[in-house]
Amino acid sequence: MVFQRKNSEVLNWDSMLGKSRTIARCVFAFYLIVLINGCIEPHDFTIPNGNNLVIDALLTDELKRHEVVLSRGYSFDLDSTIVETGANVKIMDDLLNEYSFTEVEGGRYVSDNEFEAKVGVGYTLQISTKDGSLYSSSSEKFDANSQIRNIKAERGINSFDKDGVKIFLENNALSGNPQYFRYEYEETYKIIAPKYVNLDFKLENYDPCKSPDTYDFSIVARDEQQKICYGFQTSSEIIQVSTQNQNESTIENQLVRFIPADDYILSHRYSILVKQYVQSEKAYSYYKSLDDFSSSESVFTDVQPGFLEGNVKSENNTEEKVLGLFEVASVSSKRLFFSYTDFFPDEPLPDYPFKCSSLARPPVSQPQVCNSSTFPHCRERSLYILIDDGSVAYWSETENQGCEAGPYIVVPRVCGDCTLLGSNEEPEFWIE
Amino acid sequence: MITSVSAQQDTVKISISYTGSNIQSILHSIEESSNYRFYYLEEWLEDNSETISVDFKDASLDEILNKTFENTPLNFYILNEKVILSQNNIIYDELPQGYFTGPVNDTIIKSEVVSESIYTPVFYNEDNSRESDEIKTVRIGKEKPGNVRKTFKLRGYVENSNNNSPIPNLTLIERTKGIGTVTDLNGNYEINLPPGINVLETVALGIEKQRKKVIIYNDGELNFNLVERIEQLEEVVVQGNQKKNVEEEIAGTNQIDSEESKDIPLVLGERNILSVATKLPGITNAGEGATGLNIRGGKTDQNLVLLDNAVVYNPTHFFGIFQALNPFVTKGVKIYKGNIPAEFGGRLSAVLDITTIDGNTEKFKGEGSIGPVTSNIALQIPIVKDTSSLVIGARGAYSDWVLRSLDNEDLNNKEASFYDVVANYTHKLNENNSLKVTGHFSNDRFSITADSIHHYSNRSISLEWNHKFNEKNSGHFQLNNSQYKFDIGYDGPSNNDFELGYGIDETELKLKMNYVPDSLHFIDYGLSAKLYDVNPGYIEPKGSSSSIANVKIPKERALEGALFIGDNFKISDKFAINAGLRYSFFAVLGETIERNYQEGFPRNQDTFLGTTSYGKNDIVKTYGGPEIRASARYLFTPDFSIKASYNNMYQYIHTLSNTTTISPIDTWKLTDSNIRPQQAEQYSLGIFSNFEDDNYEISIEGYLKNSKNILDFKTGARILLNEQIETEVIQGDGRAYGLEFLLRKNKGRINGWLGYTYSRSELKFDGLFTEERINGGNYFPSNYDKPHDVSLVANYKFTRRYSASLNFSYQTGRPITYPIGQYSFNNSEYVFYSNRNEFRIPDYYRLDIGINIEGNHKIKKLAHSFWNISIYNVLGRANPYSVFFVSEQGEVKAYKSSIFGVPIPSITYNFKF
Repeated sequence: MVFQRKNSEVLNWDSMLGKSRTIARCVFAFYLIVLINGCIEPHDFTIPNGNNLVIDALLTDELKRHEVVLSRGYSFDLDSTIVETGANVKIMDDLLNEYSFTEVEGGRYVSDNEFEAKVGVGYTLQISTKDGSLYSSSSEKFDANSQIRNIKAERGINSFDKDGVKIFLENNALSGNPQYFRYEYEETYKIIAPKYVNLDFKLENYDPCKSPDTYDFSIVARDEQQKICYGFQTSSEIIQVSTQNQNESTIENQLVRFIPADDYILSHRYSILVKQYVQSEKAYSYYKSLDDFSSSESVFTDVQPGFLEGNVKSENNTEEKVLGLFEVASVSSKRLFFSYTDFFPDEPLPDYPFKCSSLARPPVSQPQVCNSSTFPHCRERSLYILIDDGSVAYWSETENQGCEAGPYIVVPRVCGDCTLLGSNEEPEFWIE
Repeated sequence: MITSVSAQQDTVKISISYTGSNIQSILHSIEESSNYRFYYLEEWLEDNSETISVDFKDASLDEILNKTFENTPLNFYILNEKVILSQNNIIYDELPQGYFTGPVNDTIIKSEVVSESIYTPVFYNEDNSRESDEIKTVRIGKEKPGNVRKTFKLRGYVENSNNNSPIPNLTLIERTKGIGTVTDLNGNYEINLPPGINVLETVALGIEKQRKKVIIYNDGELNFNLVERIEQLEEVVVQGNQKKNVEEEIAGTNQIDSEESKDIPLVLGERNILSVATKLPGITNAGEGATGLNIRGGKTDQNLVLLDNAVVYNPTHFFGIFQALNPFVTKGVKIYKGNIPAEFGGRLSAVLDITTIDGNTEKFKGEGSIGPVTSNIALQIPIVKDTSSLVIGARGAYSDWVLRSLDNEDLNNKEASFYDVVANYTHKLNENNSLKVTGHFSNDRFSITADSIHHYSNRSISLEWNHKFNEKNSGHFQLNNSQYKFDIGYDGPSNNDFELGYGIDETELKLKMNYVPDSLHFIDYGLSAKLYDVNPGYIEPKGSSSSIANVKIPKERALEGALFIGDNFKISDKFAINAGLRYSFFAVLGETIERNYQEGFPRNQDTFLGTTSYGKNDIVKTYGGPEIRASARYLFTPDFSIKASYNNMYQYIHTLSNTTTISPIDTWKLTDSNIRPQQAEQYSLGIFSNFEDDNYEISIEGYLKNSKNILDFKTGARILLNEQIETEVIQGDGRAYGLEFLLRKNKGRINGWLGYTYSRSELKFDGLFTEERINGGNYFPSNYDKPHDVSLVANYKFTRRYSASLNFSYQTGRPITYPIGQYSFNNSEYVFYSNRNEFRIPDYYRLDIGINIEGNHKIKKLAHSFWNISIYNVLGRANPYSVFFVSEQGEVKAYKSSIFGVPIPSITYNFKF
């Protein structure tokens, strides 16, 4: 007995030594994490807001009907832009040409004719709003042109050690001395609904408020392609590159997009269209400040923000500040395709954005009280309600009918119907 | 055997009995059973093998020691709980009257009759003192034939050569003959000496000893001019300073002692005098993690930070959290925030005059600490006994080692390390010449993102030679060089790997002369010249595949010179002034290219006319002007005074920073033909009072400061590597005013201070053109405008060994520019901002506590130790450092960031040997 106890004490002592070393290390780590990361938490704050005019106008060297979007600044609690309707919009150039614009929908003004910006020519945007205020931009032009020579995809890790696919870009100067570039991209990707079957529910004339509820219910073959779709998204961040400090205005291996390996958009086949805008120094620094002001900062450096003035000014009231920018730029674009297996040959697909492994067997019908705000909420939603609000898709029938369970196995709608994530029409440019 | 120690009122009663013990063991047992600590040299007791027997009941320490030392040459002096033993001489517990000008109230604990000891025949055991080096011989009187007198009368007076004031209560002795006397209140003495050779020695606390060989032939006169020497008794220095706040002629100064600051709890247990400075009225910083101090509403670049006379551009490590100065080598900092003496210039707001310790010339000494983030060590190495000494200090953070050893992959490829080293060498060449050389280097390396490494470093070297020409004139010759630089290395996946950097180098030559014509004037005058050499920025490709081009912004050079004269003039006992005049001069030097813009238009690409080239050392542009530094003090009573001052200044160097706080990539820009020097003037008025025997100090000081040509930037300015930085710069006016209140308690179990400041700091940029205007050209609060500021620092001593300290700060939240709305642009949502600094972040408050445990003071112990346990931010208040807004997936969210949002405990071990 005594011997054993002694032995166990020794063991405890050993493990305690080990523990204290770990604790010491944890203490150090604690300090470092505190020091390096600081502490960031949400902050409640109510602020007054202004409703300055916002100019969003980009004139490029593409021959097309160009667009000017006018809106107003709005407060943080509003969800959407207040569009500026009923304005008179035109662009004048140095050669005394006038390009007039017409409002096609709320706040969106499109040029009456197709035209293209020419190198070295100055363009001025002029706006008169319906309240009679006049605004005009400074004269803007583009002096240089550059072409995307190549875009390529490579598997690699990003700076946070995450595996994924990197899209790189290379370009060539065509004319002038292009120094400032801004990139946008559009991504299109194939989606295959993992739990797609040929059959679907059909529920018509459903009225849950009648007692008992009324409906016409049947199982039918799907009449629409809902297995293969094409998702689409555009870049939302500001991607900018400057060759100002470089010998040549050529960019090699510029990373424009990193897609993590677990992003479902890589799952089957993926395409990216990269657009390059050659910017003026003024436009470049405008976007740069815009990015600086809106991106998550390091705890220790706190860029002095302020009202970011663009190149449009009020003609009537010098105190009035205008938001946004009128930019003239040359553009170049290039598209790239690749498949998941090109980079991840024998690896499982990334997870579908919804968990599709869970199946349910909801009861067919459930008494439903329509004024549910005064009654306790229904315990479980019935199959018909789920079909009616588009939450589920057909998977299979089941024989084994227990109490309270329905006769059909259902999957979340998005797992059996890809049109919730994209369009089921193959884009024209698509190459398999 | 000690049987009991009891404290009755103020006197501690000790009961002790011994038979045949030696003195040492008696002292040890008194130490063990009471708070008394004895300070002495072991060898004094070793010589004394005598054993004694004592038996006391409820006796005072005084009685016990009188008996114990009865038959020894030892004297003792009790100061609070310290007992200082001395051999032969007596330690005086009061400074000579008038030593710090004006009467000093007696705080006598023990007083001895001086004349008694003079005749005590124990003076033969003389120790190796420096006064024996050089003895001047003086002949007195004309020998008369047939003289039968046994003694002759020698008379004269003794004065302090620093201020020509008489030294009273100074002992003059002829040791071998056992004859002595004491000077009277006016410094006069009389002594009867036998004819022939006599060696007269002067002894007084705080006064350098002097010996003169006096050959007496007849009656005569001999005067002494003696130099002050502050004894190494800390308490004496503190007492001497007690009247200082009332009596000092210069308004608006603060002194922080590095050693004294050790009890104040600070983040991660790191001693930081710069951060202690922010606890004083009128001194703030932008928040945790903000480098630089804002003094009386001034920008962070308006402080002249000197380390032994050499400028230190960034005296902090790791975003201002740690000071870049070794705490054990740093003696302290004197902060001039009101009237700045004429010898200093070049910054508008304040001078932080940091000095290093002088090494011990007798004994090897060391001090060190082990804390959670850094370790420090400082050594004092005597080179030539009593003549020269070397001090070496080093400090490093172990964070890098920790980062690498962590399992977390996110962290272990990051870097965060810093270190600093400092060394000084002091050499006393002879009585009239001494030399001090100091070198300092601090270095920081850290990575914020995985592919970039930031690095910055400070280097300073200073040499000071002090020479005494004669009793009234002395000179200080200084040669200083400082360098600050930073670089960023970027190693990413693309073809744009680079290294970019910045550097500033300055060399200063300064000659300062002191002239003391009489006891009423203290004049200093001199000149200084400083040569700046700035490398405003370069970028170089890194690796062979990088297509980054070499860009180097042309160097900037300039010469800053000054002539100055100042006088501390005592007009009457009550009224004194400190008046100075400085003429400052600045010349922009070639080789450079001057960029010219159309007159009367905003500077931009459209108004750019071209450049003018200048050859090496050509003068491009000059600026300059007189600066007045005037301060006056009127003493209503010895404990109550009023002070007023006026000051104006020029500053020729500016930081370029578009962040709201200083960041390590801020650069310093010299004034040139497009950027004008900053100017400021300050008025101040204050009342100062001490009461309860100088235990309490109270002061109220108000100031008003106007400045012009303060730099700011157009929104979104690109600062780094900008060849035409003047196109981004705007210059405007500043005004600041405030009222500072300070209550301080110096002595007793509880000591500390309470400070409150109400102050405002505002800026105005009202250029002719919209792009040169901020907030419509109206005054707006600066980034560091914090109207209310409260600081409380308190220490409580439980016993000699245990003390607790508390530190509380409250500040109004600093102004901030908030987003006031959003707008859609280019398919995304963005925010737009209010007027500059229209809003404020939430108020700042924080409480820190600390416990200090001193090791016992046994003389035999290898090292004295000191533990400091502290909790920073006990309340866990997440003080927002900034509030910022992020657009995430089209939605705008507000976040506040804080740096130390949780209580941070730490424990530091300090040792001394």
